[in-house]
Amino acid sequence: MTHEILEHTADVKFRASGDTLAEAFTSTVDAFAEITGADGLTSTSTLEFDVESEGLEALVFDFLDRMIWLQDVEDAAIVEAESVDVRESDDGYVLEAVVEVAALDRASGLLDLKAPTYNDMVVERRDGWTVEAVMDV
Amino acid sequence: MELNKVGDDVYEIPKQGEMHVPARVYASEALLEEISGDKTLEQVRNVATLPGIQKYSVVLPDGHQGYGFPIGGVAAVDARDGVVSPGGIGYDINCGVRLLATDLSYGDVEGTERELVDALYDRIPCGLGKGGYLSTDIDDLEGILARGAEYMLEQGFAQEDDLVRCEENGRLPGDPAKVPEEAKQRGVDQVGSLGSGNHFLEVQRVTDVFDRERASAYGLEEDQVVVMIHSGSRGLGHQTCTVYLRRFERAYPEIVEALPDKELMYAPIGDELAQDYLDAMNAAANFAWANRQAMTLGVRDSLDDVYGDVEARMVYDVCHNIAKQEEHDVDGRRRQLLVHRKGATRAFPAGRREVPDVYGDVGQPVLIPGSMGSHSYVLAGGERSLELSFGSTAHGAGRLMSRTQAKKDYWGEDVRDELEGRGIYVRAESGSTVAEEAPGVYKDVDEVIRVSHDLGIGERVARMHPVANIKG
Repeated sequence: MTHEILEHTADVKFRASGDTLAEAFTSTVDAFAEITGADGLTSTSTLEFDVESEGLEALVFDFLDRMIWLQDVEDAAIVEAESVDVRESDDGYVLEAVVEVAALDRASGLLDLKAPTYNDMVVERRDGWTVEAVMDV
Repeated sequence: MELNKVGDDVYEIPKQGEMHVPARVYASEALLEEISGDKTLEQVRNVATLPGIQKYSVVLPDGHQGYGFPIGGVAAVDARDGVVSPGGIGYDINCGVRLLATDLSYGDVEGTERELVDALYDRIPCGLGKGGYLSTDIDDLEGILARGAEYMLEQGFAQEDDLVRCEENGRLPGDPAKVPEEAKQRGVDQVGSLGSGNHFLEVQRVTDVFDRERASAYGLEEDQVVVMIHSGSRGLGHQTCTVYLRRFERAYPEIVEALPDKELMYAPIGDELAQDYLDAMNAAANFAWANRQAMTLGVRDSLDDVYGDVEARMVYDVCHNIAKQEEHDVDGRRRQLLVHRKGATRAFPAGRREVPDVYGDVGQPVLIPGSMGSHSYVLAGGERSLELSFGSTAHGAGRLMSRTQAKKDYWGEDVRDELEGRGIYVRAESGSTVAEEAPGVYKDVDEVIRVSHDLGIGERVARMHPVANIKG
């Protein structure tokens, strides 16, 4: 599983990869945490959530959206994924995740993400799975 | 792509293929070279394919690549038969700029900048995390979403003049019921918070007055201390846009399938979903005005703390991400249009009924923030704005350099020290934020302003230089 922060002039873009779709989404959490600056924090609890979407790009969009929403509403920073499971359903895909979080402290100076976008989004299967996405800062 | 020069600083992509109208680019040669370096031209051409679009799709001098629509873009559609596209407004609904004029001169502040920036930073929350300058509950939120700045006045958090000198008097016909619950949950505790990224609150000094009559009408003079706030609708607005994008996507799969870019997705204005979005957008816009009003209170309290009884009166407050119902001339006929402005500022000239009476003779103020460490401008709505750009001009200079590159090239502490050496005091949540917003990472705002002025869409009134800046 790997992730990389990519160049983007105005906002933030990442690439996350894994042998399986679940691993690619796990790497997505790692990328998310690095972007906000939370990857170095010590987690204090976990949050569970699930996402259902009609397609893979929508799944990426909704997954990123949920993490952004959770940070604001739970006042917690997502540090890393404890587990991610992705399966196909009759209506598309279901993702179940448990993420480790740290209580938010404004002094941490974490980046406040606005929203996910579909801009330049990639979800492809080639030597494993790769996800690329841009988030609005 | 065919691009023809049709006037000084005016270029046009002719109508062809699926375009309903031509696409206009207002830029100098130098700015056009930057604009041509990303997908801006492709995007403004795509916008010209929207059903109901009138005259031309527009890119302003600060135009750069956005999501579907270019940032620094205007698209006006028929208010009955056109479409509404959330991407033509942006995720940060009613991101905008407010300017307050104080009765302090630079001499009153010089030497106290650190105390001032600390007072502001300690009062006004920035960056990721809960809390705003005001503590608000769900009942407050419902009032804010419905009545915006009016609610703030009712609660004693605004002065009458704050509403008079605000675009739309700080209130659009919003419907709280159309704002998604997830958005309310994000926004309920964010009233009076700055956010992150390129948002800032800056104390400035008026260094140049270019138009004395208009500056006097706006209450501005050389050496005066003013305060500029750049922020929007925070998590509530962002979530509102996100939720409606997905609702549009699910409701109109055939439209999305046919689009060159998913972020261009739209709904026919007459459809219930489109009306729901517009009602929610208006409510989110009201939230942004309440947010900037709450920060205004924080500024006034901070100034009083540091300097005693200071007057900080409103000059104006402008939106630069919004869609408005407006009347414009199209081919000699008055038409009702829905004008999408994304990273574009309304710039109505004298005589337009939407301009506050206090500015009726000179045109509305247009507030253009510079990047951190560089100057900002006040313009006046220009006589030619209605003819050329549906009464619009630029909103600021776009980025030249990515955040990742900026963090490699600049070290936050060095940037902060260099700015302090020039008399500009910065406090931010993190050094990386300072690096990401270093002066060198943005385009030349002076050239953007020069084109706006020469075209007659937004005319120079005053220029301000930063003194103290807080960022998320």
